[in-house]
Amino acid sequence: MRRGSLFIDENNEIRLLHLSSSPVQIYIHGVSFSEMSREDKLNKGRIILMNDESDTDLIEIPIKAGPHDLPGGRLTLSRNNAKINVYRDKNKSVSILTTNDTYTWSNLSTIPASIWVEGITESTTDRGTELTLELADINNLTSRDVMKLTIIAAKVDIRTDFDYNLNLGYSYTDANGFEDTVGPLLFPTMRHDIFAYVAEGQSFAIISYFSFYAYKSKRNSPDSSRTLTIREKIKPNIVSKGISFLTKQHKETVEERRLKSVRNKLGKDLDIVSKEQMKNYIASMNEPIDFYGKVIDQNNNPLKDVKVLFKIRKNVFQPLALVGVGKDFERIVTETDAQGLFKLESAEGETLGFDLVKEGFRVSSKGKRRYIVSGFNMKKDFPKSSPNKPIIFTMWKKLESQALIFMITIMAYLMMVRQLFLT
Amino acid sequence: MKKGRRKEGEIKVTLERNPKKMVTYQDKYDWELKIEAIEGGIQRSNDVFMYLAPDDGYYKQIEISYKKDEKNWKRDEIVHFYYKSDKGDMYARVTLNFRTGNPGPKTGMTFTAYVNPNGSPNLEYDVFKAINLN
Repeated sequence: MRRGSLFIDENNEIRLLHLSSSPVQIYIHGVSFSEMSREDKLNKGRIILMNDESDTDLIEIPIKAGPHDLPGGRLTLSRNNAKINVYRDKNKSVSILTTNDTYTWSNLSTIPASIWVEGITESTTDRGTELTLELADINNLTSRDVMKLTIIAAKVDIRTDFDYNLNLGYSYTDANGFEDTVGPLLFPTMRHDIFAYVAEGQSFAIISYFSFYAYKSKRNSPDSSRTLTIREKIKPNIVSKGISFLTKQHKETVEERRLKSVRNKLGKDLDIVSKEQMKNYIASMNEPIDFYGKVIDQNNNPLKDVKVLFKIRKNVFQPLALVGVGKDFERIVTETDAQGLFKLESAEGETLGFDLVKEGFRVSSKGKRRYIVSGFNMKKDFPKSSPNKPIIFTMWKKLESQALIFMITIMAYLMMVRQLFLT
Repeated sequence: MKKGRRKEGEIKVTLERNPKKMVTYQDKYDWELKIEAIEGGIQRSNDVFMYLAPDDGYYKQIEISYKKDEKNWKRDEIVHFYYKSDKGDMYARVTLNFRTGNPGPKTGMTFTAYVNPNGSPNLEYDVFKAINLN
């Protein structure tokens, strides 16, 4: 057997080099941390939380390597420092990288779909830790992928102290000496609370529900008349320890507002909160759902056996989400009874949506079947209903389809001057 | 509406605007739309699904007009209506979407129709059964 080589020519086409009359066997293989683009893995990297609160709080990173029947295939995972440990599962029952810095799978069919990473020591530089996957074939030709990691010590801090009028969040001095203010992008028409999810040891922390931006300014005073320009969407970037306030006035104002607002909302001071408290806080953003409906046909007759497909969106705690708040979806299926009635009881969430499905029937797209249940961040429009007063929905029975002529015409014509005949 | 049935068509649409030429797009103006059935009748509809044409209640024409001082004045209009031929051998559901606001004398219109040429008011469409006029 002879070895062949593949190369990419000037037209970006793959070509085979060293063809000969003898059979040539070529192995094409690849390896990847499959959750991010190659550029993001290197330029942005991934944040890994230090695992100091819960012993099973690991971060999952999917991996791919193949083909599994690659002759002589060997996959090696390595780390460049011991700031992380790597396990095969989230319960840490099988170690991969703990005492040693490399681990090799000689049988590719035993490669796990994911590895689980825990932070051991906080990073001192951005993306200072590297995980490398290297897949070698029988000819020792290798495929390689690298993911950079930043390990942070995270503590959760609920803040509700940002003033919509000031356009300010926190101010700090970055590594280049710039005085920066990090704050929420403000939407005056929105009535959602803004609070921060502060990762201790990072220069950023914040934000609103949607996004956050960094503002650059040479002035430190929280002056509502000053003009702030959007610099960029901020990225996790360790440039200094902790968050410093540049003016005492600003700090006091922020602190006072925070305490007042937290007390008003929760009845107690939650300065640095535990993960459980954060979970409870986020769970309180969901609201109970009891919904009663009735489906009738176009002649007002109740429709039974209509499938009702509920989709409930919930707020859940996700440590790596910008503000610790992630979204989860619960799906529930039920059917209408002989009176066309259906119900959803004892559920909870932020929004409720549902579809009605019955063979041979159609439902109008005009009827509202999406509701905002929780008024935490949006305006509620969830209707009141009860077993005795269900919300009525109409479905139309389809007729047998016909052979029709379909015509659509887009035209321009003269005003006043011409009459148009449609033919 | 069916190819070859009437040379001059089945429905006539007339749109008038005063003034014919405007200075800016922001101007308000009087306008009037007339939809006429040359033969047969038409009936405006607010049905959610227009898949079954009514047997009766058809008129020779529909008129819509707006004076520039009207409170509910609008620039564009979407009109849904059924069409029934005079012999009852053809039914259709039609949507006309008018835009009257172009400052110049020309304006646009979209015409969408589903026609049952077989004498049935059933207008349930199936793309796989569609009749190709070509």
